[in-house]
Amino acid sequence: MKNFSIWLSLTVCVVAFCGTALNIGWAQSTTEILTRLDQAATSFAGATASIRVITHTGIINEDETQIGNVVVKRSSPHEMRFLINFAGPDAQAIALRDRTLQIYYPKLNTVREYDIGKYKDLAQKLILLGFGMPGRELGDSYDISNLGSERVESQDSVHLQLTPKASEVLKQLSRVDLWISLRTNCPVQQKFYMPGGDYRLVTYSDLKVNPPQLPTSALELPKGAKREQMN
Amino acid sequence: MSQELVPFFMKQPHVTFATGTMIQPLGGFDTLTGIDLAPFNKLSGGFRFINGGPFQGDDDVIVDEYYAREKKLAVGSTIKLINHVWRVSGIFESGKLARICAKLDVLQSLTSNSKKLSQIYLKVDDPNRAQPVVNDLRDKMPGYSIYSMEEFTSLLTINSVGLLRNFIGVVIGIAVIVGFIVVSMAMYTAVLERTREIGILKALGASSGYILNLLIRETLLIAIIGTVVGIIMTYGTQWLMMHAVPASLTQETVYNWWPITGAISVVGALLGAIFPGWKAVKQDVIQALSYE
Repeated sequence: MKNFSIWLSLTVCVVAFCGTALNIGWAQSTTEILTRLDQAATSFAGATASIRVITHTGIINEDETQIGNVVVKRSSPHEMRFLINFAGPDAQAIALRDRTLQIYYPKLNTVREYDIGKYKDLAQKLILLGFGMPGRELGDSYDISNLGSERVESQDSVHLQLTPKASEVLKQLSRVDLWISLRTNCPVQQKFYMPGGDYRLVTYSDLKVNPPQLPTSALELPKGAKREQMN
Repeated sequence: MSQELVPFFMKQPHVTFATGTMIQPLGGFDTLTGIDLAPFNKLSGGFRFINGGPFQGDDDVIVDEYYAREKKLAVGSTIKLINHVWRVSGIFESGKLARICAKLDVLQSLTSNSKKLSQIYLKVDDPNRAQPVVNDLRDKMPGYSIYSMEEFTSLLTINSVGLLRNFIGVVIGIAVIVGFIVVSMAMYTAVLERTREIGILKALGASSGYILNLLIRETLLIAIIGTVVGIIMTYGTQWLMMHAVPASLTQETVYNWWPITGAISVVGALLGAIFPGWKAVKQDVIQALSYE
């Protein structure tokens, strides 16, 4: 009985010690990661990647997958532009340029343009979460927890859990999980949790940061398409 | 949202039927609605066609009578919507919460939204159970916008569009102020021009009260006739809208505004008339007679 008590005490001590050590390690690690993101953001000029988006509808446990590629380019110190091309039967392209969100529908040969005005920053921060984004910006907008290292898409990455600080954002987005590659300091995977159990899982592969050839034309939608201003 | 939610809704307690639609904006207030005709008919009681009938081909649309009249469409006409040419296969009586309808799967495919819906309509076994069903679904599906038809149709009023509501408020405010000033200025000028006549009346022995009484009665008569003519003219604009742009613009006669507009014109006219009239009757007769 005495031995059992000693073992129990030792076990509790070891668990408590490990927990403390892990907490310290995680806290340091988070700070390190955010610092590294700060540094990486200064040299980030653009990126290309393959993208897979799984939209999960929780209540019916349904997944819908879209596959394509993404091009991100920093057009000015505080301005990102991107173009996402989805392939397959539901092919479409989504581009963000200045304050205009453009959606190209190939079957209609039409580009619909939405002036997203005051939501521009939010759109950039959500869609491009982790791409060239300084760690301090992440810390400003989200409460961050470090869930440790994981291997995603054959890349060592750190798993961060972000909870939006703004109550308006929380109504639409309850949590974001972000896997940051330790090699590229860009996201390998993002998981956006909506209230009610739905989520969107975005996975990036073949990521090339600051590719040598990234002309502005890589972010253009077809010029011959009909343009419709939607708002 | 996913089309697979429809079978899920069908399984919910008290839900007897469910069907989804897809809505594509066309600019302004017009939309193109994708429907699955058989289920939509089952839910809505069916389209009553004035001309033609349901879709025959994938590129067919059906339009309501107002839209057909505005765009001068007949069965067999073609119309370009969302950069796609459609053929009108039927014209239906309005009142289906949609003016232009196309096949759901065709619209989903064209807009790269296969198996996606914009809205799902549910039918419940008892109208009194609608709200409890809505509440139950809101609990099960937080983050989704779920409304009873009563709540949904109330969202379609201008009051639900913040900017439009403010814009209309500003337009009404400007119209009230400008209307008031115009009526006042018109009467002011009219009475000012009659200073000499007022002088003649005074020279003939008319008292100030008699002259003011005369002016007020005349002003009141003009204001009332003006109000009535203005109200009649609103029916003219209503007729014009109904015939020129029946599907886009509608004008509702708000009877509560009749006494308000009447009061604006009467008060404006009286204020405009009394001030110069009072000045004229207080003037010396010789000065009033020499007024030019």
